[in-house]
Parts: sequence; C-alpha cells; structure tokens
Amino acid sequence: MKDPEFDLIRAIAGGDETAFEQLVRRYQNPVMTFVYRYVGDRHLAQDLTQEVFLRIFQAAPRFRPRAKVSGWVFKIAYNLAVNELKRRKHMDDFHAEISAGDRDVLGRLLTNHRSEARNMEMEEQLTAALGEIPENQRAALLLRVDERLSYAEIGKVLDVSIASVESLIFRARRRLKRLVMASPGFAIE
Amino acid sequence: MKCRQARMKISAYMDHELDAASSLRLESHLRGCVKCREALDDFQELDDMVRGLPGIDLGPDFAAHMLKRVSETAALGKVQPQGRLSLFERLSKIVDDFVDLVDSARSPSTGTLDEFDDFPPLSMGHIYFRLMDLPARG
Repeated sequence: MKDPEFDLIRAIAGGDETAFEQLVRRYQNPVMTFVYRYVGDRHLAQDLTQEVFLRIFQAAPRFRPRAKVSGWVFKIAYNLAVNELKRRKHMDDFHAEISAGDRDVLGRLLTNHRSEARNMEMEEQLTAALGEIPENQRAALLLRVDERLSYAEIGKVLDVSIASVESLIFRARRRLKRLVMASPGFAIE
Repeated sequence: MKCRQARMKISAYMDHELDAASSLRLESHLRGCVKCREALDDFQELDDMVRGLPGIDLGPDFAAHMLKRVSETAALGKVQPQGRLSLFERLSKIVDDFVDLVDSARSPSTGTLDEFDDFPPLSMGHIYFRLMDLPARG
C-alpha cells in the first residue's frame, strides 16, 4: 500500500513550497524531540533539525515510493545525529569531557535540564538515564516508543536486521530499568 | 518456557513483534509466573514514562523559517532538489566535465601529474593521468 505522504514528497520534489511547509509542520516536533533525546543538547538538536529539513528538500526527488515517509525522515535525522556525535567525539575537549565517565554525562544532562528550568525531577532523571543508554539502543527505543515504528522500519533507519532491532530494544529497556531504579527518589511502582 | 527465555521475549511481545506461536508460549508462561508478569509491567511502565516525557515544540514559525532558509540557500545554489536529471542535463554535465578536463590540460599543473609530464598535452596518457588525479584535486 502506498504511503499517503508520498504525494507530499513528490510535490516537494517538484519544488512545491506549500508541500514542504506542510511536511515541516508535520515532522518538526517529532524530529526535534527525537534528535534532542538522542544527542542530549537542545541547541545542537535545533541545528540538526534544520539540517534534516534542508536534506529532505534536497533529497525529495530520490525518495523511493516503497519506503515509508516517516522512516525516511527519521533515517535522515538519525544519520545526521550519528555523524555529528562521531565528529564531536573526535574533538579533544569532548574526549576530555567523556573520559571522566558516565556519571559526568549524567551530571551534565541533569545540569542542562535544570538550567532550562525543567520542572519534574523524575523527568530529569529519566532523560538523564536515556542519555546513558548506548546510542544505537537509545535510537531504537525512541523510534519504537515515541514514533511507534515497526522493527522492520527501525531496521531500515539504523541499517540493521530485525533480529538486531529486537535485541537493541530489549537491552535498552533492561538498561533503562536498571538506571531509573538506581536513581534516588525514583521507583517503578 | 523458562523465565530467562521469557524475559528476553517480553520486549518483542509488548511491541507485537513476536510470532503467534512464541506469543502463545510466552502468555502461557506469564499466566503462571508472577515475576515475569512484573517484568512485563515494568517495561510497559517505562515505555509510558518515556512516551510521557514532554516533547519539544519548535513553534508555529519554524516551518516558515525553514521555507525561508530553503529559498535563501537555493538562491545561493547550495540547496536544490537533486536526483532526477533530464537526458539533456546529463549530456550537458558530461560536456561540461569534458570541457573542464580539456581546460585543465591547458593550464599548468601542480599535482601528481607533474611526475608524468612526458605525456604531451591532450594525449590519451595525459588525459588518463588527469582523470586519475581528479579525486585528489577535489
């Protein structure tokens, strides 16, 4: 069955600005939220989200009707986020930052969120815990839980088999459960 | 089914990604195992919590901002829909590439081609090494 959003992509490929605006409105918040939870930095996530839509505009003529539009959009977002994290990991200051260990990552995430006046401590802890899950597990879990993509669709985004997706999501949930249960003042009831 | 196997399948089960036979075996196990039912509840609750995290709203102006960015960058020639080139565009590109190649053969070279400067300009040998040199110059 053809994805109804394919017509939107075809219109964008033809240079239809209204179609592009419509697609941006549809995906701007899900993409921003996904990228933010993946990279853990709001400003970086916003820059990457803009880059995602520029790439979509550029790549629209190459979209294959067999693919699902949402999967294609998140694949572009995921690839950009992965590359940016890889690039940052090569920077010396980032090396120094992560060498202090996972707890510093947790602390940094918590600090970021507090500075943005996040109101719920549990939200902060859950977001921080998500930040501690290995990147590919985190991406798979977010695409499943937030975007409700199937394992096959997630496999296409991450370029892995369905069996790998199953394993990634299982390990993500198991790790997340351990992390949140170990957080102070946090318990799954 | 043992608890260890059941725990590994719970995640796929709640995502409706388990085949029918495996689902039946797991459900049979869950009916008689409190600990595994708790594990399923925990995973489901975690999912609810993650889903309940506030999303980020980029606001109503973001789409218009993106449209402006696309127009600006397109005007600069940086962003244009790419992919389906017409036959004429493809032929033009080939001609342009060839013209660039010939032009570059006429200009002094400072690349690795200098090592092979015994080939006369525009000879097959010269063109071959010029082509081999293209990625390095890019």
